[in-house]
Amino acid sequence: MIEPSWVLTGAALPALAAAALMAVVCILRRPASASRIGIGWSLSIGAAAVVGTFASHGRPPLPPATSQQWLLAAVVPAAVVATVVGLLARRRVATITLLSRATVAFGAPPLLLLAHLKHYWSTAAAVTWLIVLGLVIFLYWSIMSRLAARRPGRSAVAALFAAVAGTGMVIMLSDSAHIAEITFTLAAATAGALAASFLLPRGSFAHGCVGVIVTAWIGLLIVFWFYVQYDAGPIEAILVILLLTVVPAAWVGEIPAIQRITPIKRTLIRAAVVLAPIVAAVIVAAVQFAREFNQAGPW
Amino acid sequence: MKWHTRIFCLSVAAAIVAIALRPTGSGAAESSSVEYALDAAHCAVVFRISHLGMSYTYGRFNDVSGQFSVNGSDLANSSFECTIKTASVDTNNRKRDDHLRSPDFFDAKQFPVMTFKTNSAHAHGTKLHVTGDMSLHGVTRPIEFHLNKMGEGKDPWGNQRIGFSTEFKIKRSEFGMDQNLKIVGDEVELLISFEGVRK
Repeated sequence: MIEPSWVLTGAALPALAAAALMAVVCILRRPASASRIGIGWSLSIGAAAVVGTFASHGRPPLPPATSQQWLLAAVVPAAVVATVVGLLARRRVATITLLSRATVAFGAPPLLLLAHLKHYWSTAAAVTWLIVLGLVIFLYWSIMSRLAARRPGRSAVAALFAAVAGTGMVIMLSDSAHIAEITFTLAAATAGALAASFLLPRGSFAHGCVGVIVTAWIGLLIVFWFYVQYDAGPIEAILVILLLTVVPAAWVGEIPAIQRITPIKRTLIRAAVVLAPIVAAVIVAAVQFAREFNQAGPW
Repeated sequence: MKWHTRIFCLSVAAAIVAIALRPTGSGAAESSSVEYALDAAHCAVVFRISHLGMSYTYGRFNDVSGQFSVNGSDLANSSFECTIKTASVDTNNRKRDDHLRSPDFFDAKQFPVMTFKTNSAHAHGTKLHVTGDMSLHGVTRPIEFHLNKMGEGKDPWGNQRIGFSTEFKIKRSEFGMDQNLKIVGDEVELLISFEGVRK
């Protein structure tokens, strides 16, 4: 159960912090360069998510003890650094962008799955999972960066915000208020930066932040699948697949037939296609929760 | 001297030497230390915790293992080690148990066991005052409690057994388990009883 005090520290604080950071970047550097705005996006969301989580759950020990602590203390900051490096190097060496992205994508799963590496997996299982999950993060980061570059508005960030918020609801209905709170904090940070981005001129260079959101979001899905449910089963698999569908769904606006229709219709179709799997996941989780509640009673 | 008289004299001399050289004091106590394996079938780790400040919810851990050594003549030289699988928590409600295994409480995948190991034991009347380190949820803290020796002897199958019991309290927040404190109490009362079978 989420406690009322968390709303201040875990939601309002990161939203305001992200908005303030974005506003500072936009106001102090007007007109801002694409790189600078991209750095503003990633810094504001990454820092606000970390600050909000630490404010509501306390600073983690060093070294971090849990997957969620590694996520906030190491993976998200690493994603911010990789984004900044990538944005600064973009003009010169595209390889650096890809290398920094790959470092985070393939470096995050071992940190998030230390318990499985230590207690549960064989070498073959560990290698398979780490490669698959690294590929998922790398591909999703690349896919969303490409989309944000093609559509330099806020739609990519908005789609990711919806995915993160939906993931929070699913985790909330699946036994862990603690991980749900961390997910909602990331959603609040994204929402804050998104709101402040309206201070920006059109073309807000959202590709600067998608890497941070994608990495943190998939990291939270990893925590959900491997730790929230002690024995994750078919229902949890359906939930994860539905939520991961959001990223390819966000590309629906790029289909030539959709591009030919009016902008309002196109926006509505894109919103519907992105929201459909999220809503479906929340409904599946809610039905599962209700069924178990009826069987077990209030626990 | 005849040969059997010689042997008799040598035997008496050997006995006298053996008695003279036998360990005494603490050395004697150490030599009488007996190792026991925890008998999981006769071990109960039960806890109770306040729910909404209205009642207690009782639970137990079903997978407990360990070993201990008891010094018959000097209980203070005894030592105890125990490992409990956190996923074996059982409060007679499947959904609640699932929640207890989640990162909100035990985070059982990331912290599959809780352990206890004695640092010292002191005789305290008929009881043992035990101090040791308890590791739970990735946090290791010293705890102390009184251990009552309930009895020892041979069971019907000829095994040497000894049994203890104890009750003590811990605060879960001190072990980083600080979620839902307004609903589920912070203080956890543990009731532990166990037998060991001589190795």
